[in-house]
Amino acid sequence: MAAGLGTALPPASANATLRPADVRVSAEPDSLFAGERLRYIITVQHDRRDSISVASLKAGQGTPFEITGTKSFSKNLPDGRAEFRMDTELAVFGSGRKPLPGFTVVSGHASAAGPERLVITPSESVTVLSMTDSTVTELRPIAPPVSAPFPTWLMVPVLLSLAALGLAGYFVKLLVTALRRHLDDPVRAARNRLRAIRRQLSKGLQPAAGYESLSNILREFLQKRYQFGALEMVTQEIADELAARRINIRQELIKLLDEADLVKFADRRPDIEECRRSLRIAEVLVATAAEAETTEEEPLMEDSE
Amino acid sequence: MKQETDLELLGRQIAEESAFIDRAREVLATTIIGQGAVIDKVIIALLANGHLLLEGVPGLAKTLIVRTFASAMNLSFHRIQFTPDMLPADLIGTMIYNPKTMEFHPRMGPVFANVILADEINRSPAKVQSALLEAMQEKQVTIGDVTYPLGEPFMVLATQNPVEHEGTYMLPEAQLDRFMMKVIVEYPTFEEELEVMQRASAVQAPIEVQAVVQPEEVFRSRSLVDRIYVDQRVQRYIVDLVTATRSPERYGLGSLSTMIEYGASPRASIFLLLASKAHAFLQRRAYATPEDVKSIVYEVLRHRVRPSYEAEAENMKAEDFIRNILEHVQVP
Repeated sequence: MAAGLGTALPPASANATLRPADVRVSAEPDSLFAGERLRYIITVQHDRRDSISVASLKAGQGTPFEITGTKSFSKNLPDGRAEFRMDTELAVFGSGRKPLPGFTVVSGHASAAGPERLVITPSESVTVLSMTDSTVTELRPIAPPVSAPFPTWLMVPVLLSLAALGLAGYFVKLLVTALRRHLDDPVRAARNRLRAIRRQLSKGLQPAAGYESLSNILREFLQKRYQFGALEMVTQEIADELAARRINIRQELIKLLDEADLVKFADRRPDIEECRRSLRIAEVLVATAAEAETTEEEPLMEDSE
Repeated sequence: MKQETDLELLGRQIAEESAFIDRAREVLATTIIGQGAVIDKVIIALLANGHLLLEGVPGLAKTLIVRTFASAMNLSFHRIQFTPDMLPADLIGTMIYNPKTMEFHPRMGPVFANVILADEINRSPAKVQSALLEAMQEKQVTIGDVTYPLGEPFMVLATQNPVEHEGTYMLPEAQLDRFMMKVIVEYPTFEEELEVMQRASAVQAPIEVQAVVQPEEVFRSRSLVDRIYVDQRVQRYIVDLVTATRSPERYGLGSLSTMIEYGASPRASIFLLLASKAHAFLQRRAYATPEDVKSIVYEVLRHRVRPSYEAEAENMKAEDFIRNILEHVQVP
């Protein structure tokens, strides 16, 4: 729907060759959404000897209009006059009724002293529709925002950082594992504890308590070193397990455990020297186990046992 | 030092007094092939003054073991076949009217013997089972108005057939608890069965077993068993094992808490301690060790731990729980 043809209203001087009635404007459509395009047509009928142009179209900053395209052309009319036509495409902003932008028609005549100017203020207007509710104070997008393309170049430093972090973590893990292995080493732990018990004997620890600790240390050592439930086994079961695994130190170990059993269960009272000797033997056995985990014994030796 | 001397002395006495065990084993071996573990458990029960529940399919020489054992020990023996129509009077005896004297006289039942074989105890109704179990507990029987003490030693060996349950009266848990141990009688090995077959095929009557042990020897041995030293550590281990059947989660066995309907009673701890001492006696030791406990723990606990419905659905038995507990409870 066109906004309709209108005629410019301002009065012209008496000797003017250009009359406001010669100027017509039309706009299409008469209502549109903000941001849409309005076709604004200015038509001027004039003498063929005159040259016509349109200037100072009130669009741009501070106005609800922005020129996005324009073209103009002239043609001769059958009545001996000519017609100038300027077709302008305007982007419209804001909301509500907006008067069509004014402009100045400039007419040049060869006989005149200078160009003649006619300022036109159209009475027509267009209605600009807003897509947001006027009662809502916050801005809401008309359509979902278009996501920006992912900056893939950013991945390079991220990946490099991750790789560096992973590598650092791996080395830390290796370090922690090595440290833990060092601290949890059953041989080391058993030897340290056996030494500690020997020191405590000198400070007044009862030999019977020393034997009980000796038994516990040896069982824990066996459990950690050879991965079987020595703590839940009686001495005979441990002996069977060690024999099945062909552990080379089994006879001496079982002898010590038997001695400890006598102290624990038969109320035997060993003297301090006996306890010290057993602790030293235990230390040597543990150290021996560290050097050679298992040895294949001759079948003859197995039989002799 | 005093304790050490006492234990050494006790050790020597045990070595002397336990000689009857070898004699009994030797005589029993002439009649019974294999079943050494069962015989050991019977001796343990005799020494610890307990009763045994034997479970095994028919034909595994359960009756023969008990009969021969009683003969070798020079103990009186009665075999009672429990049937559904049995009455308590058939077991403990009753008052019989004598028309000549016009008086009632007590007629003692078969329970008056040193060794009783209650064959297929689960075939008789609850009142007969109760009468026997009461006699086992009280060691005396009341007939009419008079209470008669039972003989000493008095030991009941009851048998149950694990495969036939139709028409039987399963022993309630409270009564099962009265038995010190439940021993599973296993099939013999190939060689043992071969020997059994060769011996049994003889037409001649079997050799009469001579009594090689006197009851006095058993009494003296019992007094020695009482004196066997059990350290606090071993006692605590026993209570740990029994408690673990009731509160497995306390021993890192949370998964068992839903599998065990109920665990062993404190009577199990008492019997486990007694049986451990008797086992130590069999090993000629004056002190008990965790090894003794482990040797008889299955027999003492298996009938006292009841698997839950979930456990039965997963085909788990009391033995599985006991094994699990032994693997988690630390030995002192």
